[in-house]
Amino acid sequence: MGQRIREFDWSKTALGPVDTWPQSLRTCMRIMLTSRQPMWIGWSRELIKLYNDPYIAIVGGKHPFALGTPISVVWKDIWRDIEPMLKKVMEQDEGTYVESQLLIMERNGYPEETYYTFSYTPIPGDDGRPAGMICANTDDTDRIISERQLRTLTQLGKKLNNCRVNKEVIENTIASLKENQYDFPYVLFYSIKGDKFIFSNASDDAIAATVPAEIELSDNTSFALCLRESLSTRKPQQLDNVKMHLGEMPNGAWPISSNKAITLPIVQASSKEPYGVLIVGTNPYRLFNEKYRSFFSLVADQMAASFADVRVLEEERKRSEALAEIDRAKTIFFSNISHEFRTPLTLLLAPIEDALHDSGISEEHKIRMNVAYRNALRMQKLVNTLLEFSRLEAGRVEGRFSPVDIGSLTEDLASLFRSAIEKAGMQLIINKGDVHDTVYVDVDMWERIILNLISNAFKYSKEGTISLSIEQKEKDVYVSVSDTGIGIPEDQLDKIFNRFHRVENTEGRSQEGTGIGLAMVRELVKLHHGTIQVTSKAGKGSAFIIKIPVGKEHLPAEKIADTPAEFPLYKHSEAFVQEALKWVPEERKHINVNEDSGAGSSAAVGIPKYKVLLADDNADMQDYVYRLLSDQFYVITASDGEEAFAKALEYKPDLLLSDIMMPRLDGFGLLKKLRNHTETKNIPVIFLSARAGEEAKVEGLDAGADDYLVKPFSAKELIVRVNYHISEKKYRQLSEDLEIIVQKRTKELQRSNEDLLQFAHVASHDLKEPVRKFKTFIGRLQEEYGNILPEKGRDYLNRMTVAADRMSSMIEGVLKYSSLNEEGEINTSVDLNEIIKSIEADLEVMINQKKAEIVKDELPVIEGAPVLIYQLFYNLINNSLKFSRENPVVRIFSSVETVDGMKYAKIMVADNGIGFKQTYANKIFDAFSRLNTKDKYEGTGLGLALCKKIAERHHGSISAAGEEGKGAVFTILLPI
Amino acid sequence: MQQMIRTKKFLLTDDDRDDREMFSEALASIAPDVVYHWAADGRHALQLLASNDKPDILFLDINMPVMNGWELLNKLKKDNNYNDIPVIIYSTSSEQRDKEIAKDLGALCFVTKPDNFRLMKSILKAVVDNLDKNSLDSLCADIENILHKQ
Repeated sequence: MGQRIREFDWSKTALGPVDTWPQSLRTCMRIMLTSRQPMWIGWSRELIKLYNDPYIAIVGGKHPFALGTPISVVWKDIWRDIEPMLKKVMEQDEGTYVESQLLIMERNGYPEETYYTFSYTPIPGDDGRPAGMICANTDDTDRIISERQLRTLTQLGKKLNNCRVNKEVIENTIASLKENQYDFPYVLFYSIKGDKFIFSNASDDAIAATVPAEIELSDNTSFALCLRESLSTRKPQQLDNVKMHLGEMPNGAWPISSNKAITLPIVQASSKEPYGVLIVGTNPYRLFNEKYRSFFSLVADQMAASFADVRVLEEERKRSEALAEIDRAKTIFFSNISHEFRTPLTLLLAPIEDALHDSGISEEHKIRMNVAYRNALRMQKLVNTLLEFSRLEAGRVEGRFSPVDIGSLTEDLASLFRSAIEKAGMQLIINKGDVHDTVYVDVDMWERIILNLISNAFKYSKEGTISLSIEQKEKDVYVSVSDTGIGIPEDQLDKIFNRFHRVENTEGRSQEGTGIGLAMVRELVKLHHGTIQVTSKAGKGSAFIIKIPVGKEHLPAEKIADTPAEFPLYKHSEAFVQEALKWVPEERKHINVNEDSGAGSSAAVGIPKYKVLLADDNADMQDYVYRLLSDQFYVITASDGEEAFAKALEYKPDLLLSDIMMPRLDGFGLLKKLRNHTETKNIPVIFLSARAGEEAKVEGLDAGADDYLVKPFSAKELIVRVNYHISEKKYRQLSEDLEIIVQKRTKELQRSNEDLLQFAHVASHDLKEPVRKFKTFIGRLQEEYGNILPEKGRDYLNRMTVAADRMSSMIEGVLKYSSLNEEGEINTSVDLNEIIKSIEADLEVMINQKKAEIVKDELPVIEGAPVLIYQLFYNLINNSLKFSRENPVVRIFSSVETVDGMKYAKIMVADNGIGFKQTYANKIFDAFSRLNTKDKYEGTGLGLALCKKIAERHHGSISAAGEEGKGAVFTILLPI
Repeated sequence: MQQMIRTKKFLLTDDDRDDREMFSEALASIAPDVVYHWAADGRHALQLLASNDKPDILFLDINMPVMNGWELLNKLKKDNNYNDIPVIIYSTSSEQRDKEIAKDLGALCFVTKPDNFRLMKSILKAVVDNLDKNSLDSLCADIENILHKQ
């Protein structure tokens, strides 16, 4: 700038040439030019402008014309704002200072919102009065705008934090944005429903009236287009000419409207469904540049995130509602069923009780009755628990609270379990602390609470101590039941009081239970205005602590009975205790297989009894099945899967009867273990289960069980199935063994056959040699010395030749026969006519010699090995000629026959030769069989055997019919 | 047509003394001027080949100890010095398979040893005649004909 000023022709201006400038101007100019802060000087009355380099940014597009120009011209756009200040400076010789002044500058071609902090200071002229002024500037625009935007975002964040429904999100967004009238003159929101945009809310009620309430997605208006565009691109879009589309819109903080709006799609990146479109009016004095755009994006993102949160909340709510619904339905269902059971149960229990007290019943029957009684009691307990619980839940139960000695009451209740606990080798320790205030409880409910807790402690402890303590601390009584049992896993601790919740796969004494017990206990404790808590460590033990307030002030007055209740009624105790007793393993006599020598057995002496292994954690079940089966079988019992597996290995039972739900290792686990072990994999397994239904059965069978019986099952059913599966397995084992034996033998036979053939093959090969030589030398003898030999000698030689020839052809025959077993003959089309023709040619000599005649039909074409087929017919025709009388005629007939659905060519070769007895019809096909003596008719006896083999090789057959002295007919069937 | 008649040389490799005797007698009876060498097994044959002039034709038995006919044939055909000597497999076997193997290994013909002295003479005569003609193309066919006339 210094250079520019130096080169400027100042004489044209009011300032005059530089050398006329007063000293003060010169000095100030020097200050300005060396300053780093944007500064300018206005000199003379017109305030001609001079400025420095940093000021160029402020003056923007007006540089460089601003230099040497009167200020009123340069800053025409903000003259309104600065004129009063300048007047003050020039006329009153006072400096001015403003901070973050809003100035709408038009220095870059459009009106801009800017904020400046600047001072005007008068510069005295030579006469002491202001001749000009100097201005120092700081640009505050960015800071002001950023702060404003940040405020909006913060406000937005805060307001959107706790929205629970979409409506809130929209309202809060608009409310937050509304506060920033500078950036958001107005705000609208359109939500999307189906294929429509629906107006939702706006920053001004007046707007709601003028804007379209609904817009079809497919509309052609530029507004709809804009909305669609922003949704599809997921980017802000600019809407021009807002006045036309939406009507008169508020200006916000500004005197004018930009007549533009931005449509912001509100959609989360991950979701497909957009929530809607936020439409905001723009600041007329700002460019819609990247900075502005990203601010809007932040706003849009916040809104979208908030919508997403609402959605998540909604789904959470729905889910928990659904779960609660299921729970409720379960309870109702169970209580309905339980209701139905009550009457029959009563009718069960009463007569059984009577029977048990009847002295006339035998011991044997009493035992059975007891089983029935115990189990009916158990059912009753379950039914009552469920009913009670559902009533509790429905709020239909009201306690009747009486004053009690809580210590003694609790102690007495717990003691009911003492014998069962001690029988199991455990200890029950009761610590009765000092309780000085009166405690009011509903005795019946209290009984249930304590019995439940003690029963649980016992169920889930195999050894150690169960402790009960009662003590008062200030205004509350603490009753705790703790054990040294298997404990509860940490992740289940908060669920354990839930309805129907059961901890899976525990190693307790029993797997039985509904999961209602603790839920019920909690409800009952709640009715006493108390609390129950649990602490536990898996493998170490658990402790349940009840806290109830003393006195009666917290209880509803009308429920209080001031006289102590009848004490206690023990309505429930029997069922609880009986159940607990059953968890204590008894000595079972029937485990020892050797001892049980069949007392009372109906099996005959000498027939071994099969062994049945029974796995069930319910002692009654064990007894029952034992009694059913012990007549016919040795019964071995086990109370869980692991024990059953060990016993299976030890005793190698012939069958396993197994429950499915058992502690330590369940039925499926046991089955798997058995099937994976070589010694036990073939034991048949029958599942006994309470789970009914096709699915359960299929699951069991799929897992590899042989059968599945649903409880309750009839005794007869059980015995039949056990017998069936044991014998099935035995039978299958036997036939498997037989199979193996048969296979082995067959292999052996095959091998020996092969060996034989091979031997025959080799032997024949080796025999050929000497035979050949034999013949050769005989031949030479005859040739060279034949004429000097006497007749007899020549005769001998002849006979030797004949014999050698026979041997030769026998060997040939054997070789051919044995080589027929080799595979590898290629099947081609064989024209039987051609075959017969070439046979005729080969046998020409003999045919002529015997004056034979061969008459033949038109023969078919078949599939086969030409050489073999040739051999077959050659042998037959040769035979016919060989075994002929005078004037032999060989007729060959051809026809088609269907046998068993297959088509065959039927070729009959008939002659009028010597024939044979029909009784030999099959024998003649045997190898080496001859019907005539060697000297009468030559032959190896292999010819027909070969024919048969060839025919069979081709999947056909050959048969013979003959009549002695008349002739023979050979019938060949070959598939076509 | 000038026919070159020169001294022919036959080499028979056969471990059987009787067969060799019959062969040489038959040969002597129909072509006495043919030089006849014999070897008892393949190894022996190779030694002879190495130390003498090449024979005009080789007769090879199959079943021989030490090195059988197939092995020897294979060796000969792989050796550039000897693979041009025509080979007739001369064996007791009449199996199709053996005939095929002989052809595959490069023998000229396969002749099943006849059990008749006269036949033997005819076969050897055919060989000699064909050698005189300087072409062995029809030798196998001629031998077939002779054998077939049986």
